[in-house]
Amino acid sequence: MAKAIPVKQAARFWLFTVIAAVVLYYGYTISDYLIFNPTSSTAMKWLGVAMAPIAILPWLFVLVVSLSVVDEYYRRVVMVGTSVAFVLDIMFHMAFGAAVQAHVVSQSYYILELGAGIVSWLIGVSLCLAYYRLRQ
Amino acid sequence: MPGVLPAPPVKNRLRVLRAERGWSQQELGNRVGVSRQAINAVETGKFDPSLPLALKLARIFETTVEAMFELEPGD
Repeated sequence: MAKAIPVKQAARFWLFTVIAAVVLYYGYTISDYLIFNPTSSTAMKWLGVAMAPIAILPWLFVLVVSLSVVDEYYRRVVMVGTSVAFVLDIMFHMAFGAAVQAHVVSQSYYILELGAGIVSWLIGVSLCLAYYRLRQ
Repeated sequence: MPGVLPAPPVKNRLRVLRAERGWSQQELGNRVGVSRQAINAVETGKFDPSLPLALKLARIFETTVEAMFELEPGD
């Protein structure tokens, strides 16, 4: 991670990270409010639906900027780790769906998509990092 | 754990060249703008450097890419 960035650029990046976190949190809160409020019109509900995926966009930008300042080795680790995470996430969703269908998990349970995605990504990247470190 | 992601069939003389100059992995990493881990991964054959990084390494060691990297016999 030897690539250094100027202090001013780093400060802007951290400020944007904070803004991205706020947008993510409040985006989801407002989205939930619009979707589940019984007085919401259909248009407002659609707005709530649109806000949920849009709220994550600033975070994706933070991730892309983060990737652009690490070196090619870590970029490779993150790329391969993300691919692993994608598979893990699919497997988790399939397992959860099967568990619900088998009635071993209550049908009232649901997956927090963002949380599941973040955990899958962290596991995928960690596995990949360990693999690159440990393989002969 | 061989086989899942096949190791690159490339040998390199990076460790030898670095040792000849008495540089640490960190020092070499700083000179070419990558992390110590990246240098370690290249030296141990876990990671093939990009062409720009290979060219930078060759320039730092005042040699050619071909003199630093070669395919394993049979590849």
